[in-house]
Amino acid sequence: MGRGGGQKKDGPSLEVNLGSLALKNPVMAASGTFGYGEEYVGIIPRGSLGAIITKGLSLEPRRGNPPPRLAETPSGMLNAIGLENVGLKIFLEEKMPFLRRGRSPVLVNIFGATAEEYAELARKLSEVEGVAGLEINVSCPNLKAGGAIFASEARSVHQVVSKVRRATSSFMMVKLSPNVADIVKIARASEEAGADAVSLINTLTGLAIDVRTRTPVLGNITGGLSGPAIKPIGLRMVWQVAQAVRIPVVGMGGIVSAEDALEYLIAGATAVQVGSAHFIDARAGLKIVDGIRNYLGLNDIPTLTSLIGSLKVKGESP
Amino acid sequence: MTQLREGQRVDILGPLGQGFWVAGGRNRAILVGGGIGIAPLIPWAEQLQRGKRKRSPKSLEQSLEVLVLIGGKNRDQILGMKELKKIGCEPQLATEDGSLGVTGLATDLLERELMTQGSKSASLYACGPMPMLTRVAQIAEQFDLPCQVLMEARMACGVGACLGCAVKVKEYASPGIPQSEEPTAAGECGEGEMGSARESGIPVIAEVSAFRYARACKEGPVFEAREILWE
Repeated sequence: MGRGGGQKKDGPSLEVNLGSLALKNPVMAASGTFGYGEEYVGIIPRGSLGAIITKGLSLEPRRGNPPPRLAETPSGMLNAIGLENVGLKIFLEEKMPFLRRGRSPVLVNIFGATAEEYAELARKLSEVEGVAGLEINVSCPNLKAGGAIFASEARSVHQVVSKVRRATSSFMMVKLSPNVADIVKIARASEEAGADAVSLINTLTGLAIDVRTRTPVLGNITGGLSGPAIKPIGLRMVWQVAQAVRIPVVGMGGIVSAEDALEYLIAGATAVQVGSAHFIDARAGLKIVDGIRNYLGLNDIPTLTSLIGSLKVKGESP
Repeated sequence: MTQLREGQRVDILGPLGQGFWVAGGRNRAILVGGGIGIAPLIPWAEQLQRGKRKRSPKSLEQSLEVLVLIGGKNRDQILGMKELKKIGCEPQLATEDGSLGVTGLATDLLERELMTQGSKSASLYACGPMPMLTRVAQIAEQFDLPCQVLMEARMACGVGACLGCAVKVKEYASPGIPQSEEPTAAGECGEGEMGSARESGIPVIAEVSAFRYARACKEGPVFEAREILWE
């Protein structure tokens, strides 16, 4: 096992539990940035990340948005991939055999245009060997609500999550959108509907314009902003949500270093996801695992769990 | 990169993707570069000159002739001359303002070359701005020549995971597969924007309208020109 792989016998423990899902370390690969895992063969030792979350999956294949799909912005990037994916059939036939052989738990990120589609996917995936759980992407247009995203209303999130809950007993984490008035409300709705965890934040909707041509840089006009630019927002939201729900919170948004990850853990996240950082350094996740271990060692913290939610606020007892 | 010091260690991931390969049974390679598009053509010219073969090793004629055509806005934007001369290439030049070589575009040089010298046994390799590549592909079709184009697309992961560097390529789709693509004003979805809610299977009738998005970083960046759905 290479760097960032297993744990040293006498080193601090990086193990965390997301409800029923045990992770050997808290660093997960975020959906959409890690493909189906196979793309990183030879770059990252298999099994070295806490979990892998696969590219958003729908029942049918999707071709995605017209290019350009990416735009670089200060301290971040915009993407508008349009949820291109191979669809359930090819995922099961061609992607799962590889994923199943890995030693990291595999969470499948799913989305649909109706709550029924989510539930159908969940049902079909719950029988699949090697699928450790689901991440429910609610940042999709709700076909029955004129295209407003599910995530924007507590009621529609509740509807999707409870439908999925009825369809599967697998671990289920709901990925929340920051493009809402009150993310705490949405997190609570997810918890009430039976989610085992919530993950946040998804990208923030943004726009980039080419002033020479006065056209949008992206083929889809708007795109999702990720990268270090959004970290303070992600941290604030994780901190708020972690205090409001009892289920574990998985933090993400702009994590490129161990210090970024530690900030999220201290704010209340039980685990973290690394996304855009993979595009700067494909081994970012490994380095973050190592960095967290070093931090725990240097500060004589025997277990990672004692760090979670340990933010000291003046005037409050720690 | 401009801030790197001499001797500093850098992480490099590569080589990635599909580069140029030797078009079989051809003994005249014409390389067409526009602006900074000349950069990847220099090592390719060198490889051809040295008779290195990536594919079809038997079909490459020993007497392979390598011709390089370069276009730029003006003389300052004609790049790679020194490097090309070093490997024994004497490129033909065109500038839009006529400050160096003939006045016009790289594709004008290509057309002239094929008209005057004939197109027999030629193969084309091109890199440059989109309008140039589109024109090169048209010329290749007109003269019925094998043509490889190096497509430019913004990339993030480089390994085929993020699907950011989409290039529209032809596909013979079977009827019944949803081919929804039109962007909508809908909000963010997943790792980015969702184009439109899934449409129930719209049968694909016309072959020409059937396409898919290929990943330039993995399946490309070099594609056969006839694979690309030019717009």
